Amino acid sequence: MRLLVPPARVLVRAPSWLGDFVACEPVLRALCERWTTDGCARMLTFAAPAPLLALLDGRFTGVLRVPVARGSDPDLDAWRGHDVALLLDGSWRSAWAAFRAGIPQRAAWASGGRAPLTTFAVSPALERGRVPLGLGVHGRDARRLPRPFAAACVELAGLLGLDVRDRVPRLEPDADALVRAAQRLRARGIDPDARFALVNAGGRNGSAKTADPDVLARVGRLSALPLVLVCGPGEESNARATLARLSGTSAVLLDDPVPHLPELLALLALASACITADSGPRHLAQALSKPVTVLYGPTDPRHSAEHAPNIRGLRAEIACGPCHREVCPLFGEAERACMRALAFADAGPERERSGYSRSQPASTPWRST
Amino acid sequence: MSIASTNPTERALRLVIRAPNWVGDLVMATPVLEAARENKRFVAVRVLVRKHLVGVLADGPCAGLVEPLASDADEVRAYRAFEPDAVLLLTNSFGAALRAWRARVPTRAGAALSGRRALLTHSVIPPTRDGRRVPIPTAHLLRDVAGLLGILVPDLHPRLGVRAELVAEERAMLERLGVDHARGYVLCCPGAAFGAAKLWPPERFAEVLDALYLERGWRGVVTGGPGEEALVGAVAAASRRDAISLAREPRDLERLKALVRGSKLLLVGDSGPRWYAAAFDVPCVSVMGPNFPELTATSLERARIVRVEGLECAPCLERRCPLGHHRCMRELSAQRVLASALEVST
Repeated sequence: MRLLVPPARVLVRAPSWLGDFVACEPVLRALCERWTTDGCARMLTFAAPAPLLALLDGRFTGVLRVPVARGSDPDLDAWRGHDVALLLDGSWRSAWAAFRAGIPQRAAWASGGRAPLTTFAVSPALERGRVPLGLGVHGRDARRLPRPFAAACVELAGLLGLDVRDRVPRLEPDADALVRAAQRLRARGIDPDARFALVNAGGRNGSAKTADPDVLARVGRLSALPLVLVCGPGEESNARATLARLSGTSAVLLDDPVPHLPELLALLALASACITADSGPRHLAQALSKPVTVLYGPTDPRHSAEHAPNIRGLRAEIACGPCHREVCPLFGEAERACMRALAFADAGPERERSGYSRSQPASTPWRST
Repeated sequence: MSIASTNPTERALRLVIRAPNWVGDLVMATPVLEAARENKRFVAVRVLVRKHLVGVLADGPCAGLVEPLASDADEVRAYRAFEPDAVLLLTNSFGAALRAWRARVPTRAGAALSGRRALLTHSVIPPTRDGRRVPIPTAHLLRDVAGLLGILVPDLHPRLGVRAELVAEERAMLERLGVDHARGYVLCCPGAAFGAAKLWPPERFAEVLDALYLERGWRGVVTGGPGEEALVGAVAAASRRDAISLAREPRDLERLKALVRGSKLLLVGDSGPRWYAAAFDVPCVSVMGPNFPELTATSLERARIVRVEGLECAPCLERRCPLGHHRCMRELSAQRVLASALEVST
């Protein structure tokens, strides 16, 4: 079905999660290129939370941006008048909004009870049978297959007639944000032109995905580079706990105020490497082709095993994981064992081997001979 | 991407990978083969490949793992001799799953297609719409299946190798036939093992080759597989700029790698050599008729897929046009293909 063809008026509801938002960037870019070629970029609308849309500042000229507040209904007036809604998020609310806005063609994944609200719904792939080796939790029935989100976006867009030639998510830091990030680093005694590693020391309180301060500090200590710790709003306690465990090293924490997303992107662009849990900043670093050490906790690495030549992952294979739970349901020694049992001692040599440099090539390192 | 795992639940496994039977699918599977080879969970890996396809993997990163299969009986024998703990079925055939089951391989992973779900211990059910499978890139499906055995494939760029002696040999052969290597050549593979429905008229291939000679100075070189000599000859005969036919020269899948790698552009139907071009980063124009473009929608950075849009009967996936008009190919003009060729090769 060829719905994504200019001059159709297309509204793309991009995901609300940072990692998924970055993963869908190739589709946004391909749409913009196609519509711009036909001189009708103004027929495109990208809807997403405002902080995420800010990551696209300076790009996609002409495309209308409609901020969506998390947890509230979208502005239906801004949604009305489109021919096609491409719903790349997983929320029922956005499918309902597209329906109520009278958008005649609504394409999405058929999950979360959204199929009746759409006109083109694709049921996601499933896995069935025994537990995948080293991955997945037990269950005999067919269950949703963990797949790279970027690939799923490209597939959905492809089924609607859009070719996405370059499938690697790419972000560019805003020039102003770069200047601000460099000034901020200098103020804290870090030379922005020298090599440093950026450590994402944040994470929601109680979240199973949040990197354990002990593990994070021990991985950080293996780095020969100065460390710059960052966190998101409300995540300062974990970051401060990590900083406390890094006493005696050249580590600084940028928490006053915490960097907003464009500034975080700029900091990552200036950094030589990144250490993070499997959360949004990992995807930002990946979109900048930076070497990243990822501490996998309860997440399945299959979700993000794509365009990842510079990724070094550390994970523990334990019977209860990857469980994908927001909060670990276990107690005592078993609590958050997936995060605490990481093979952190293996991180140092691998990170050095990955060859840090200010500008890593975006292409894959292996080429046919 | 590499992952260091503590406390792996499985260790020291012996893995067999049953490789695809189509050239294109086999090339697309090469990132999976390499990821499996590097996965520390497996102490030994064998790749079972149909004998006529062995040349595809020759000189590549996984050439040392290859075990050729002359027959189905060979496949069962290979399982029994190697005694694998797991088999990764990268073909979608029922027979391959049945043979792995008969050989009592304890872990059998593959896509739940062709009615073989009951034969597999681990399976992927591809995305569906209204209960019917929707076309997704084959490379994505191969990666999904590999994930069932804990094999992560972070990069889908195909990997092939070709040895320097073969490159030199083919280069000398082309020189002998009149190719000026200073100017370069465009390689044309007009055939398709799948069936006549995928064939574009020879005179249009010739028209594009002639136009490229005038525009870029690239000599046309036409080649094909066994049994395609007449088609290769027809394209060369229709050329008014002396395109070179390789119908009488030694041709095989291994030599084809050297030819593709040395070319300025590959002009091809919807067939396996397109994936050679992807592996060697050679610009490529693929003329597509009865197939779903979504099935092959990877490695598009230097490829252009040209097809007729809006036909009610397409894609039919038939080997011969069931309606007899073959509009999906006959309505595709040489000018469109030429325009794509000029665009992709700039």
